[in-house]
Amino acid sequence: MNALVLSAIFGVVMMFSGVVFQKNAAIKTTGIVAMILLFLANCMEMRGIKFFKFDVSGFMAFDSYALFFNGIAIFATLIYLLITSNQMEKVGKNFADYLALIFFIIAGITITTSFKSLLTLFLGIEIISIPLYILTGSDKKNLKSNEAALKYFLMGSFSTGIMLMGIALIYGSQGTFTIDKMDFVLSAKSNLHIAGMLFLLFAMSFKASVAPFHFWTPDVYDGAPTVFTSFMATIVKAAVFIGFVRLFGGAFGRLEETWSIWVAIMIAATLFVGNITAVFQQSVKRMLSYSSIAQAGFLLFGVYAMNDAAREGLLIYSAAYCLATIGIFAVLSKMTDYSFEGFNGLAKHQPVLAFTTTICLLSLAGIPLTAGFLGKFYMLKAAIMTGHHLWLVIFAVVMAAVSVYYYFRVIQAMYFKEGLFNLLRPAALKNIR
Amino acid sequence: MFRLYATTFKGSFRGTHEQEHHLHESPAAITIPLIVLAILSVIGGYIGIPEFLMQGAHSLKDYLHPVFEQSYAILPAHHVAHSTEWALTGVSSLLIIIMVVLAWSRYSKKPDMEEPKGLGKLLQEKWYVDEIYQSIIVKPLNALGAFFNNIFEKNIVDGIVNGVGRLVNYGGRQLRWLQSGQTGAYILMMVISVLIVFALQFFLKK
Amino acid sequence: MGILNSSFSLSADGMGAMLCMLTGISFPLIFVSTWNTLYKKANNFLGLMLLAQAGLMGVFLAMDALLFYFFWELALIPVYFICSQWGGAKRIKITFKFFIYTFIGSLLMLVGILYIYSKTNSFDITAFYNSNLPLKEQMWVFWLFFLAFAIKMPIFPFHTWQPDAYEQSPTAATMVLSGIMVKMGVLGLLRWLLPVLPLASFSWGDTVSTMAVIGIVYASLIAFQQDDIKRLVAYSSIAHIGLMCVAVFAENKSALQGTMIQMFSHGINILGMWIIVEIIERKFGTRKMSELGGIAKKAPVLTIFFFVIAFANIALPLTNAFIGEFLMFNGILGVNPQISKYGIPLAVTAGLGIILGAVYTLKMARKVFLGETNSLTEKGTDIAFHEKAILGIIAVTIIVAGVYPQPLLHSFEDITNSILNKSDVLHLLKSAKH
Repeated sequence: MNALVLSAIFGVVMMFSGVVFQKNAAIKTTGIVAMILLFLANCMEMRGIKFFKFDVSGFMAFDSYALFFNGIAIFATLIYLLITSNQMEKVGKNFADYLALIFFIIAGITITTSFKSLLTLFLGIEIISIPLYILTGSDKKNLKSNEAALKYFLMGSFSTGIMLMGIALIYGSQGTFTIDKMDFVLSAKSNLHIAGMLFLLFAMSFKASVAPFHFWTPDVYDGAPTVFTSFMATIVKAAVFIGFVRLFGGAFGRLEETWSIWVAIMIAATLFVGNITAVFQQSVKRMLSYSSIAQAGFLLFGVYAMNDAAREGLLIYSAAYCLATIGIFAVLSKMTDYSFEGFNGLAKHQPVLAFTTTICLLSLAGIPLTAGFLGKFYMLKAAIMTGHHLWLVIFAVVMAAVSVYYYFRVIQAMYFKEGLFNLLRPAALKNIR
Repeated sequence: MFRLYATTFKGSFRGTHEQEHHLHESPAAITIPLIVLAILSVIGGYIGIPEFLMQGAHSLKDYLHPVFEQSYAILPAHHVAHSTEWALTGVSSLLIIIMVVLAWSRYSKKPDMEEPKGLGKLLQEKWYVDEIYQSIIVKPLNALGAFFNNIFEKNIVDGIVNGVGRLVNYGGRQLRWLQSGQTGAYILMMVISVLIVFALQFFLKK
Repeated sequence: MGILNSSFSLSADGMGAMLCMLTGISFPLIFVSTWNTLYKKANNFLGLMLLAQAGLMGVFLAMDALLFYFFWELALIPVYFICSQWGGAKRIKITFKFFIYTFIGSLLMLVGILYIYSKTNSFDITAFYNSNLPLKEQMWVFWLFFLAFAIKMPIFPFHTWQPDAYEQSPTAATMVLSGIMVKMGVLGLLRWLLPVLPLASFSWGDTVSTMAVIGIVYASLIAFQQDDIKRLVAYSSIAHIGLMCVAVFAENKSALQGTMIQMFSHGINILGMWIIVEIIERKFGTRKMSELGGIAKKAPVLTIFFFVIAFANIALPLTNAFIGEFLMFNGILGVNPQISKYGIPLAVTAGLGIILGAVYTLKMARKVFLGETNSLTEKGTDIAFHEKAILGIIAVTIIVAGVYPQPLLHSFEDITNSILNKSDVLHLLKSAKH
């Protein structure tokens, strides 16, 4: 609750900061301070100190799981701002507005992770999506960015329609929006709520870029300014997954037999499409957007397994995934050449940068002794604990091995290939130093 | 044996004059051991006198007995009649004497070193044993090795491994085309998958 | 880690201690022998090597499945970087293939570990030993584990990464790979496969042994064709490891003891072999047999050491490998007919491979060391003092372990018995019937 109210307020503050301050540095400082305050406020709520005492128990529940994830999300955003705010300034003139939108997205995230009613979920998802449409198109003079924003908006509205349809069907069969009050056992044979559930599954899959609803992802991620791609691909996506788990663990837990097979198939499809397509990409940015699809496949294991290990795993996985991907995108946003060759010889010129990138890539690939391994480990463990569909687990590890292929291509380029490293802009070089 | 003796020590010297000049008796370091060995080999012949010549003279007979104790327990020792032993000994001795005479007469007079023919050729080439080995073992093994090395290993065993990698690459190249960039196509594909799921869920499962 | 029931438990039984000793002996020898090879950024190189050493020792000592997996990967990653950074011309592609290949194997093993964990709820090795999975589950969990080990060892037909990787790696890394790293696979079989999944090991034993025996003959035949000494030694290593694999699945005392002592001997012998290859390559700039010859005239000391090591490689009596191979063959021939009916054919075919081993080793000796010198080997000199010292240590180890192997064998006694106890299939089958 603290975080939700404060982030909305800070969002408005940031909008006005653009008017009050003339210099970007001041805006940046305000944004970062606000984010730190937000983080502290969230921590306080975890300790039981609540600033606002509204009764929202009918449609929201700020339980410890949601709060913990919000903490992770806010912390990751803070890091994200610290690393990339320099790059963000270069996207366009409206720096303050970008920060404001990010705060609004955080508000949406807090709603999505702690909803209790389907309407609140819808609200949260839309509050996340609409600022993202804007951020995608924020590089106004870039045709690619505009195209991506339009595509995202069109397909996003399509999925919103599907979602509303699902909610309506569920309401029709249950007579309530509140997930606690739904009782699927009595009407187990009703097609109405199975259809509604499937619609919600599709809509959430769209937001989480799960195959076969992932088509927007590569185009949008590729077109959007790199700094915002980084935000979209990590924190937002993880938040959607938390909502996903809450929805299917809470409301549809009783229907697990029906949806688990579809989720299993979607995991397989997502892993397959994400990993296999990523192999052939020539641009690191596009590769990363496919890899984020592939990682979504692993995150979906959290929904599929739906046990304690899965819930823990989802937190660890999303934290590890967010940090590593933010790191790589931060490096990427400093490069002029996004192709693999652009990374050639980076290790010689920027050993620290290359080393950090390597750690991030190793984490994404799930190599032991990195956080990414722990995340994958928990996910696989959760999936094996369910005791069925073991083919899926084996398929997943084979795909994880495929993912090593494209992550390590970057490492190879950095360390083992001779660099034509003059491709880096001199100005960007200065920034890194 | 006697051919060796005859060609080496009898007849005229076949080397150059120079070499003949250098011929001399071997030093004591060689002759003394040779003498000892010669004496021992004569003695050796008398240690193991077979039973049919002199009872109990075969002093080596039981020497190795402890070693073969276990095998004797399994394999009963078989005895050969004394007449057979006489015959075998006689025939082999006779053959030896004939060969000695032959060798002496042939090689001490004219120690010819021309290419042998017929049986001589066969013997010269050691019954062609090396050649047989060469053609039935070494060559096929070499060929098999070459086949494994050049074809089987590269194309089949490693080919499968690399093929998997290539297949993944190929799949990536083909799957890429799904990502056409057309929003209409994307939405179409999403709708098709939705329809398939619904069809399977509601019409096939029941 | 409390929640996971996993702990940092290390302990040295006879096998672990022996392999750690091997690692401990090998690394200094590797460092000294590659003293004169100049590596760019030597500090990174040595750091990665030591990291690999830590990983290897961890694998040999880990008594916890998760820890075992951790170290298993930890040993691999530094080697990947070493080979990609300091290797030959085609190193990047080859090493990458090697890395992904082994990584797939180890991920599958992780699935297997997690599966058993989901039954036992603990990663501890004793819990794994007591897991007693039903036969049906053992049958496929076996392959999850075995693939990881088979790729690492490597067993035919999972070996194709190996000759290329050995050829392209810097020799120091090759020594680590072949001398020590392949032992990870054998150790895995002995400690994590046979006792954990005894029923499946019994059921698949013949299949695996057949694969291994095919591998022995196959690798030997290919080794015969090689011109590059490094590739020759690489294939000969496949043959030797294959024999160990057959012996493991014979599941009797003689075979297991033979395998363990052979792990040690093979490590020492192949290390010596690589050191000699390294010296030759450094002196003459080539590893092609067709370009070498007559080194014996120029470097007699090197030649003597080579012959000691080559004789050990073909398991002549009085060398360490003889003890191991003799025990292994003894074990394979004397295999309990209830475990495998094919003891004799397996042993005979494997023996054929060993004979071929003698052939190609001696062929290499003849082509490289004997014969006439050519323009390349004309200027050869004998080896330096530190090289004499390390080769001396290796030669002494070979002969001492060949003449007096009792202490080593004695140290394996307990572990062998305990492995055999836990994997006593006949007993398990009997109790399953009652």
